[in-house]
Amino acid sequence: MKSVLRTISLTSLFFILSVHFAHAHEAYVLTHSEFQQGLMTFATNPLAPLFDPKYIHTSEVITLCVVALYLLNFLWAATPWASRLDKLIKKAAVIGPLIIRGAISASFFYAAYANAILGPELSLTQIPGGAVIRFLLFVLSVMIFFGFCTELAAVIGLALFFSITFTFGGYMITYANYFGELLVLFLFGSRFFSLDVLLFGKRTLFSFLQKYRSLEIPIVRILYGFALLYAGWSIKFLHQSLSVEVYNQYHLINFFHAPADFIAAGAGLSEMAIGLFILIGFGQRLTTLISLVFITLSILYFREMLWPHFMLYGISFSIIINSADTFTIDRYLVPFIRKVVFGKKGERGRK
Amino acid sequence: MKVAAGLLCLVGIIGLSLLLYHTALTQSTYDGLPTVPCIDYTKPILQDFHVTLAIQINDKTLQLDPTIGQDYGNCLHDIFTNDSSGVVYVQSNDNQTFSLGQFFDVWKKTFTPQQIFSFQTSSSRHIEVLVNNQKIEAYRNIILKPNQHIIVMYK
Repeated sequence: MKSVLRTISLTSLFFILSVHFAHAHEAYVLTHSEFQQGLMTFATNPLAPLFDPKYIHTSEVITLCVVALYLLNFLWAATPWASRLDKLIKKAAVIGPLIIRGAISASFFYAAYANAILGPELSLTQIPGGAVIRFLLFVLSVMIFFGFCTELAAVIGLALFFSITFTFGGYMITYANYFGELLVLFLFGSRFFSLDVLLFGKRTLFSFLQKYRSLEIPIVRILYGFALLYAGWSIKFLHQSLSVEVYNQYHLINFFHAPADFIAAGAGLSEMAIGLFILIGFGQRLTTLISLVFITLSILYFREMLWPHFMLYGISFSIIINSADTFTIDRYLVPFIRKVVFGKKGERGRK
Repeated sequence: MKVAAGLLCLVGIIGLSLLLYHTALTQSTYDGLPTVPCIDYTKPILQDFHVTLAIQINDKTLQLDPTIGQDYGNCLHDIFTNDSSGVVYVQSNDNQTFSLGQFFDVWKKTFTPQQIFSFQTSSSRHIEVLVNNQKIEAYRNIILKPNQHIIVMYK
């Protein structure tokens, strides 16, 4: 019983930490100098703690639990009840762009309020013209919130993204999810519940692109998955000492009684798995739900600054609503399982 | 008509943004990243001392929050209080110095040359800081040292 509880708590911790770390990039809870110092320390074998003879059994059990969970998920997804539920959830697809707009608007607002951009570690005090950018972020936030000249606001947001890349370099890849959402808003606009629809009608700026609208969610999802994958690899694996530092400073050992490097390695692996699964659309809803649950738990536990998470909630809800979109494994795997397990002709893709 | 409506929206949006910008500039809380680490009990403590701090706003003494530095998770920052008596503790795993400004960052309160909490300086209102009865101008950067007695006044 004790070992089961221990396994459950460790599994939970891996996911909590993976999601927390993924989006926090450790920088939320460490000081700037500690973070910079951590970036200069490279792990030689980040996966080694998982294969430590003392913990190999735990690693194996956790892996089996995750595999079983995904198997059950696919079995469920192949049932007629899941199919009915899927159709029901997809009725909410119309509000997808609205969710994205709300998420970007809230993120920009809180970023400006905290004198940062995209994430709290990207302080506007480090950027030339930071005060102007701060004001601009408020303007963009309000424009996007009310849906006023959305495409213009999005292109300004994209320009800001590229301009700050000069200051923060490759680290900006961890914010590829923002890039994806702004790109989608720029290309496809958002007329639902907006001032734009009152002023300009339903036609978007690039109305000829509407036939490619099915790419909207894949763009958002793939860039979100890529951001997670990159953050997991670069921050958790290459610079594992950052995760260890957070674990020690926040005394997580009091709760989970496992060594910091073991937890950091597990969290890194989980984060990369979550990123990869979202990127390729594998067990999309389950993966996104897991990440959502643990983003929420992470917020409740760490009570960190919330605003970068608005974007993650927005993306996650969009992915859940539009599960099994174009370019996903789920789109083909679920009908295949349905055919094999239930002996019915699998629908080729779900609308 | 639509052009007029569009212009009206634009003016409204810029006006609202200006209001939000002004609110952000004068906010009384510090929302930035932590500037002071948490104590890591897996490492030795290399600094351990305390200072006393009194804050007077318009000649009224303000009590310190008794839980300054006790942050989310299980973090106890290197600068913290245990009660509201004015005693501020500094414990650290290294020998880095900490400033008075960082104490306010840990407290998550605004403390700049122009503002303390929500109180802003003007031609008639100013912030004055005494360390062991000696007036210090660059008060945010005052380095915390053992047995200092610091008085922060806004009047």
